Amino acid sequence: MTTDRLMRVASSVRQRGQYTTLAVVILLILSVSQAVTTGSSTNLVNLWLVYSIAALGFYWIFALGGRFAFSQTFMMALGGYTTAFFDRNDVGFLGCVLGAMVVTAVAAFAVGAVLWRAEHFYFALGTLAVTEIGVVLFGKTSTFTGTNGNITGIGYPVVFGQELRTDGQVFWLLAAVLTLLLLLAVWLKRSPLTRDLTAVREMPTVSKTLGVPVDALRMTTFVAGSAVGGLAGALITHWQGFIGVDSFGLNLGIGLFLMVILGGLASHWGVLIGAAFYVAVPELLAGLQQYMSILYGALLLVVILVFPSGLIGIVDSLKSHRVRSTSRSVES
Amino acid sequence: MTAKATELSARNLSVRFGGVVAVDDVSFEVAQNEIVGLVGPNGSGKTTLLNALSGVVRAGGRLSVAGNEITLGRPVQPRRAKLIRVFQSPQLCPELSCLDNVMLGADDANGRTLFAAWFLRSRMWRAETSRMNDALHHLGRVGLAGSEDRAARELTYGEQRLLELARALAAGPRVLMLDEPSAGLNDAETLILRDLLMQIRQEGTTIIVVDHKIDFIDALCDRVLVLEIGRLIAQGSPAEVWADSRVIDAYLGAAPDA
Amino acid sequence: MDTLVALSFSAAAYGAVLALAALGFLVLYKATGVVNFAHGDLITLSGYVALWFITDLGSTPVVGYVLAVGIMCLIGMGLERLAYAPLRRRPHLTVLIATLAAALVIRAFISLWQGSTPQRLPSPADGQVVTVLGAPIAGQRILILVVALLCIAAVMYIFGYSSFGRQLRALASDPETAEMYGVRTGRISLAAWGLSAGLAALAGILVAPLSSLDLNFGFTIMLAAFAAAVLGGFGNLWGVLLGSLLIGTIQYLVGGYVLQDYASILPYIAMLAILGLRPQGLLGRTVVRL
Repeated sequence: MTTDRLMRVASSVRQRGQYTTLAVVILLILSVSQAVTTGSSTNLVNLWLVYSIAALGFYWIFALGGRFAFSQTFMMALGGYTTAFFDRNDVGFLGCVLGAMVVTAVAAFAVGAVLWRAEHFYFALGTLAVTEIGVVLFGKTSTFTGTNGNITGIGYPVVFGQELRTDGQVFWLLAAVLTLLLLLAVWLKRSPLTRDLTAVREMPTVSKTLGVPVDALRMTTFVAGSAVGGLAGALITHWQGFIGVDSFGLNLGIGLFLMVILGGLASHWGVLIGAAFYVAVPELLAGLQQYMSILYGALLLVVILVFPSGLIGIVDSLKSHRVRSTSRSVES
Repeated sequence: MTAKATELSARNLSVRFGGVVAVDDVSFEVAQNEIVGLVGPNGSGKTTLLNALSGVVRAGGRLSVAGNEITLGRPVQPRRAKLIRVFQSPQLCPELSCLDNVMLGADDANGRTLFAAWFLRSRMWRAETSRMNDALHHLGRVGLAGSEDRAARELTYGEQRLLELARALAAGPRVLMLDEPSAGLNDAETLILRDLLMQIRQEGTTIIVVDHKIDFIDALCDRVLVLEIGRLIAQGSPAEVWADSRVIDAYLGAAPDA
Repeated sequence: MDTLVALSFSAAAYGAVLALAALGFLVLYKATGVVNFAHGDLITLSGYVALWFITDLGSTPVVGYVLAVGIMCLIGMGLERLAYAPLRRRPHLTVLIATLAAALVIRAFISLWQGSTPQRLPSPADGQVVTVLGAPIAGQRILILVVALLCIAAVMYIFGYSSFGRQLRALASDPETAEMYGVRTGRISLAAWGLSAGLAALAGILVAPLSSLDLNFGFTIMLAAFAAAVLGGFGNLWGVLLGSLLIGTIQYLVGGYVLQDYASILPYIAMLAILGLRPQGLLGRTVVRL
């Protein structure tokens, strides 16, 4: 076959366009940093960044690994409490956060091992049980989690010896972490894992006969996604300086689902859109605060009915429209 | 005549589903580079036997490939022993491209971990490129050369079956097991398939074929095994087997008074 | 001895409530294959609806209960029309998400309607105490046991022996064939949703007087009911009953004597243990090994 064709075929394997989108996203974040001036808006932008991180982890577990897991808020809480624990024991910021990620990864590994043979619905129930156990445990183990699970006075994030006290300063830290994670997400996409995980989701039994390590891959996405959740929890905790039993509750859990589904399961870029929605909509509809959840519920239903592939699906169908019309014009 | 080495040896294979015995104490051997046909009326347990050999169902008995004992009941060991199965109805990822589908079946597991994706990218890309070239080669062999980037769901039924075959070839099989490969193919396509399988045999693969088309089996197979209600009732060359009264009984019900 | 008797009744009553909630969930799951995430919130809603009838509309508790169960059945059927029927052709995930959306809406509606301060549902058995073997047992627990046992027996009968039950089971195992054989899938699915909501309502209304009514009240019960269903083997009605009894025992009898502080999470630990060791539950059939 011609080199041309070989290159085209190879490029579909290599998933080009990811780096371009990453560059666009970085530019977007930079322009947001310039456009946003008020304190409350900066707060919102930071929330968007840190929820994007948590949702990205959840995307890896749910959209890539295909596992319905209710444990992400537990992992965020665990990350938060762990980082507070290390902070109380005078560990530097970086050490606290890394420690939080390691602990969360280990916890996820343990949960994944217990639920190794559980099928989808049972896996979901198991993670739900873990979260419920966590809620009670966090409230009661006062030595680890403080009286009634409340810890205050947690240290500011420290980068290169500089304390980040204002929202504006924390913005740069969060943006950097998110960018790094998005890079990892791009690298994941541009690897054989994308195809292997698709097979794991769509035909797990046959995949085993093909030698695809189904269970190991599910465990990998679960642990990686949970560790990222722990990271998000740790970052939030240092940013806000406190953590309580309700910091990562049921509403956020449902929120993470919403973010990933609204954004669309087809691409990890969707979590940015989903998180933006989740953060922005309550603000835009400030007067209708009380009706928020009803609106979310109704919105979710509408999105599912009209855009089965989430908001990212719209982008995809626009792209395929353009491709089809250009190829038609070439042939005619 | 040189005695050929035994590639696959099955002893006392049996598969039970609840009270039903689908495969009943079946024993046979397949020599290296042989093409063996597996025939029998509907419900005789042919597909179940293939399932047992590829580890998809729990089975009793013993199995060895090239002298190595294989644990039954799990797909891991048959796969490692290069006992590769092509299913009766195509089991593909419809949204992935043909090329991706073939690369799924590749034997090479290099660089397919998250660690490699994040920290060993150059090694990962090298493995990917070699897998891709391999897959392109196999797609060409089965006659799907132009379709690499088409999504699997766009293919016709016949093409999807060829894609499955390409994927099986990507695994570098020692023993290739095919379930009704000629179903849904017209005469011309069946001939092409036959030639392709003979070529694969030339290259050193042993083949077990389940099929219904008698001409296809006759032209292709060195030996034929006949199953009826889970039991092996005859084996031998195609000519011998079709003349066997037990086989005629099984297919027609009762042989006319001889 | 008194404590043992009292705790046993608590365990039995709690198990009975869980059995009702779990049966409700299971009836729907078996008939339509749908995992209804709004089930817990239906339990919560039923408590509030009963409260509304009794306090705002001034009906007697019993009448209020009956009306509430009726309303919840209607709401269940309404959910079927809104969140299920239009999505029947779509993949299961979509329906799941739709029920999640419904859960959100119901939760929000409750918090708007009744606020978030915990309230108390009055009961005809208020203040009544029955002495059994020297131990004082709250009348409510006896009421729960009696009503629940009757209803469970009725449901098991319907499921196992009635024409409706047969059609439900046919629908569960093979919807297309069932339609060909004349099973009215639309009607059966409506009835299943209604029955499921009715059972949820019963569970909520029976147990609410023993604790307080707040936003997460039903969610907690639903979780424990899930644990019961898992313990006993999902999909198996007898297993669910066994599981519910086990959960009640674990939480009250074991949790009453040992690890009192953590009694509420003992069922979850049990559930995790079962999921890890025997994923098909105690009475479930073996999962295909692959």
